[in-house]
Amino acid sequence: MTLAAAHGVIAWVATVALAVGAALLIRGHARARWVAVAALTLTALAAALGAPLSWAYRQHMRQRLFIHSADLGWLFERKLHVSAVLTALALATLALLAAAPHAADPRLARELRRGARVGVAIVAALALFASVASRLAVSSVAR
Amino acid sequence: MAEGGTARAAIAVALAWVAAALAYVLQRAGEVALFPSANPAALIYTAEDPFAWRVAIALYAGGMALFGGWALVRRRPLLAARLAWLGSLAATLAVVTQAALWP
Repeated sequence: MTLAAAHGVIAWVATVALAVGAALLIRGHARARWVAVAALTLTALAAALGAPLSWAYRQHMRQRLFIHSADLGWLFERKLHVSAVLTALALATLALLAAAPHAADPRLARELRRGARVGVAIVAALALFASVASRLAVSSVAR
Repeated sequence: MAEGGTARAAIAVALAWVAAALAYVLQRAGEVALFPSANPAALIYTAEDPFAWRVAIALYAGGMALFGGWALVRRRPLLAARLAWLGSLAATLAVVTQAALWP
């Protein structure tokens, strides 16, 4: 499996896991925290696999993509920006999830759990956009 | 109530990552506004990777924000925790706006 394929597969698995994690956190499910941690970790792994592809994208794929379709080219550029931000927010949310069990003040623990719910929901939405945009752009060039 | 070191450190780290996200968006928006780039369909080769530079600078900004975040969480942990997730919302709105208007 190539690095690009691994990145794509793990990104999609992370997208689904994030959606499940967000739903479980909102409902207050007992295992929600662990599902969310696993999903956010997968997100970070997908980003780590995707980062080295940036150079290859600029050198080999970007021009082809824009010649084929400027709209898909700009869609993939948008995907890059969203991916960078969602990775940072995923790591921020992981930190909030790590902080919540150690908060001595109940108000702080409640705020951290609320922050984790918001964070996972945001990252799930951004990841869905990034995964769909990437799939549309890459499949058009691969043909 | 005094908070433990683990919770405080984790909240400071969260603030740092939120700052990194905002720094990325500000960079790209500024880049598009101030430095017109070549038509991607006509660009055969480039010696630099602007994406990698934006990420590196965002990480640097996040590292700087870590110190400010630590100072805030020591004094006002509840405010710091609230700022972390409100900042996440702000970063999301910012990237959606930037991606829509200045990709």
